Amino acid sequence: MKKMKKFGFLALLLIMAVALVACGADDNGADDNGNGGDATVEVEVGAIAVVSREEGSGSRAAFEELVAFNLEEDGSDAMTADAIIQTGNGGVATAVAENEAAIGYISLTTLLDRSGDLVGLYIDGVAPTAENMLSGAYTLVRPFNFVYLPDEIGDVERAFIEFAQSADGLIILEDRGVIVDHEGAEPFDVAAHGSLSGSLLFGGSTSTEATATALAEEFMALFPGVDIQYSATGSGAGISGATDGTYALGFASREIRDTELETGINVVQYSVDGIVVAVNPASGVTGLTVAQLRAIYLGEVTDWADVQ
Amino acid sequence: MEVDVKLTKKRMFSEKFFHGLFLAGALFSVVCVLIIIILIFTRGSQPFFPGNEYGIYHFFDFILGVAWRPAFGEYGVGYMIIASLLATSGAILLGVPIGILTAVFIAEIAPPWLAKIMQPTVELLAAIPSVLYGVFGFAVIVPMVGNLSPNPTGHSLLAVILVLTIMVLPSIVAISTTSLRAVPNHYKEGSLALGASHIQTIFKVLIPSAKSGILTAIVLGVGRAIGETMAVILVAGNPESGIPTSIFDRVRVLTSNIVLEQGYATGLQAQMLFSTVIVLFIFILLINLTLTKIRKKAVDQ
Repeated sequence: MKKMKKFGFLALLLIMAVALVACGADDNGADDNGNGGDATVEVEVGAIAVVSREEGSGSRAAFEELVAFNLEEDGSDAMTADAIIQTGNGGVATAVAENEAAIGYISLTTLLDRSGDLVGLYIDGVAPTAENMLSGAYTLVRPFNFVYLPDEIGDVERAFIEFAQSADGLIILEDRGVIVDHEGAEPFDVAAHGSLSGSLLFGGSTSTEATATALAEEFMALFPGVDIQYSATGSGAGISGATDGTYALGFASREIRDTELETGINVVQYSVDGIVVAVNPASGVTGLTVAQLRAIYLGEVTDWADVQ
Repeated sequence: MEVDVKLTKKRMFSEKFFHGLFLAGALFSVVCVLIIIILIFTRGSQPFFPGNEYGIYHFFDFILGVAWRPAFGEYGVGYMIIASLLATSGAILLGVPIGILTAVFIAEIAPPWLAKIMQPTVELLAAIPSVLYGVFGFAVIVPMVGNLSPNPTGHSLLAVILVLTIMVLPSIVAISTTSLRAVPNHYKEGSLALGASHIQTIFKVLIPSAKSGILTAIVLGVGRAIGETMAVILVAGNPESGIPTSIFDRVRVLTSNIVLEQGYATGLQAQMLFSTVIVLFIFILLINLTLTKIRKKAVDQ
């Protein structure tokens, strides 16, 4: 009896294996159909595949704030549970490039790098270009700020602040993919600052880390006696660090709140980061309103037919 | 005589030296395991005890919760535990029969020249870095599943199971082949001499005799499937809530959860990620205990 059971089990395993092979064949068949007719493609584009960044990402926080969802403590405006979570700008870009029905949000730089695979949507009728982001016509932007206490800073900090806003500094920032305003910017005069030395600690947002360290590296090359370190802790920590003296400059990838301004800090917006809503070129979608975007991320609208 | 004493001393020294070296080697691994255990248990258990600086979280809310939304202070891993278990059992259900049949083919049925090609091919699968399986899954399996799925994308439990199935195959095939070949030849001869056919011999004599090896292979496969991270993260969709109810549903497994958020997490969120590691660690511990038990049983026989 026991042996019979064992044989039965093995037979079952065999059947499952055969079933899998059959399954594989079916998959191939469906794949062929999917790529063959246009009609099938249109049906596929129907349901929206929502792509989002991982919890804790600065881009995600800014996007949620700008589009106004996922903000209430009670979860009444929570993001749709169907959202696919991808890590990093690249992860979202790839997910959207691979899927005709997908929608995701990425930094403007990522879009420029992969313009063939992705389409950046017009938001409320405004194109996602650097000019529109700078002029304020395109609303999905977030400022990159640094803050400091004016009474607490020395010559090195003052030189750095000047450098960050000089024509030389702006070129470095532009290289890192953020949007800057060249108007009125003058070249940085190294000689005017003499020889500076000292060691500074900057800190704040993880999103501003790349731009802040790029500026710092170039600055340290100009003044070999200066050493600057950046501690990526988060925007809030950056601002409080600047007010309590932990950081010489505190960096934040969001607007500075009124309560934070009351501490007497100076704010310098040194660049702007644009968030682009991207879709697959095959979807045929070219623009959305912020309200539609919100409805999509809340899961209230789940089909492309409902937003066109 | 003097020379002899010197030589003995020299020998004594080298004996002692190497004993020390071996001891140091052995201690290193033990110390590593201890440090890891202490680290994850002290950090990961803090949220469940009063006096935690970032606030207390109820253990049952953690282990049974169906939503992971740090922004709202929700840290439930229940749906991830279910996803991890479903993905692993799915991969084992598909991978074990395929693996055993492959092993039987390589060990018994295939002509020697074909077996010589097939075995290294299967073993090569084991050497491929897991992220490549992820990329393969992302580029091939996800679109394939997407065509069958009622959901807008193929990121799903099914895609995870298919990727993991391929990944658990090599260890199952390699160990099963070895244990099938280790069955004494006279078992087979005896069975054939009694009039059993080759296939009857394989299923009634060889596989039962190689049972403990095959079971070890399965347990190792479970270990690989439950611990896999990079390949799974790319094909799973990693949603923030929801128990999977169909194989086309997106899932977030325990390992992916840790990798997804470790880079940013601070405070309670970081501690809860360590708590997730504890859950994973307990699973791995159970798997290893099962493995030890199987091996012990095999030795007893």
